[in-house]
Amino acid sequence: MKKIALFAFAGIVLLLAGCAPAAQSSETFAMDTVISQTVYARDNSILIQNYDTIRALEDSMSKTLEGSDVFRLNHAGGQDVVFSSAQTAQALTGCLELARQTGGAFNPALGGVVDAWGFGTENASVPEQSQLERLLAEAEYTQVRIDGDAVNAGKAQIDLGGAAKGYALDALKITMDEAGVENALVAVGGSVYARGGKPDGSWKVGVRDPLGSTADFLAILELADSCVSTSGSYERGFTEGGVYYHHIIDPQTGYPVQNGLISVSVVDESGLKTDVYSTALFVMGLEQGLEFANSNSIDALFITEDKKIYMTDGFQYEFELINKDYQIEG
Amino acid sequence: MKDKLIKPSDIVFTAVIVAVCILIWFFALPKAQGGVAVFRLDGEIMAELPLQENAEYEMSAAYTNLFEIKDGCVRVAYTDCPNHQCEKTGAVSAAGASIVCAPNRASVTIEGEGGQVDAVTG
Repeated sequence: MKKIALFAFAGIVLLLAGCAPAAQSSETFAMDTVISQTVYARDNSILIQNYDTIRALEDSMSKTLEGSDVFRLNHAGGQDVVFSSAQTAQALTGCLELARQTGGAFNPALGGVVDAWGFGTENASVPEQSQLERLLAEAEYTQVRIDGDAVNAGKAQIDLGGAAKGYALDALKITMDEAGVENALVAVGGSVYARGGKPDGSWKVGVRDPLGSTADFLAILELADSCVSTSGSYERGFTEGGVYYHHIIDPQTGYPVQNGLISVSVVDESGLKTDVYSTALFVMGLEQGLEFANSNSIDALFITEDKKIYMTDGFQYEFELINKDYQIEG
Repeated sequence: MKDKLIKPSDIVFTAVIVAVCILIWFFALPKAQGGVAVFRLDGEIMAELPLQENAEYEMSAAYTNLFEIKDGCVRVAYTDCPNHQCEKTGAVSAAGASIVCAPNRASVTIEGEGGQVDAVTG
């Protein structure tokens, strides 16, 4: 009898050892960027579920993929379009709310202007001023109407590129909630979701050095159950006539923002908010952006081209400066 | 006389079972691969090369990336992709660092011990 009990005990120990969540990792591509996942789970099926979630969002939110909700909306000639994905409508609704809150510093209707610049393509070049003025006049997010299933963007060209990666992180939360995952770190490009903690400590996320290579980081953030996104002037730019043009467009001028900032990082529970706010605060500039972030309880880091780091009041996350060429101000 | 509840042989037997469990658990853990460059194309591992040996590795799909491993670092020596972001990354050697060519859906990641961060935002 005792022998049976001992065997049962040994069996339970073996079973527990075999069932313990272990790190499952993958690197895949979607949304025109790399998706890096480390998920603590019993098998790698959650990696595939997460990737499928992101691919489905790309299929509905891409502005270049024929048949996507956004593509159909941008080619509807001002007619109503019924979205096939409720998530596209939810993301667009969220973007419009945040556009209003930021006074248009984030503008999801700027697609025509962004396309004219051709960032990240072989056709990247400075558009004609007359073309920019015409496209800016059409980039009116307040004209976008969502009425139940029907969406009408008028002449505006919707571009969710500044929000889709962050929204994807929010979607992954739901996927991993359903799968019972407790610990994970998922990066959709530069937007990162730290779920729970790391089993042997906390998740450490480097903040890229805007003046270094893509592998260099100037500081480390320790995160748990939060997302972080960064907008920087180093991404997808091009040089023409000896001038560097980056991809963050000022919705007022149609030109890349030039205000002394080189990157803005935002930490929040919502991935969508981190993605949108990082762009909006960059567009606002240091002074107005800091004021907006402080008054709206947004945790943000502003980095200027003279290597100074400004943090919002009461920035609540562990922050370690690694590159001492930078100085923390305030 | 009543038997003892637990005999010495039972303790030895239990210890052996627990030891076997611990060994199985230990060997089932994912092992860190010191200083290895892992090359992926569209998420699929194409090659794993040690950083200690100078080498070149090419991945071609929509575009071509020629990677060079030299003096413990890996860099993109040539690419015909449209934005050349991979080339601009320069040389990487630290565990966790990676070079990504999104247009070609290619990447190389350094795996090993000693990485400072789990991800980079930017």
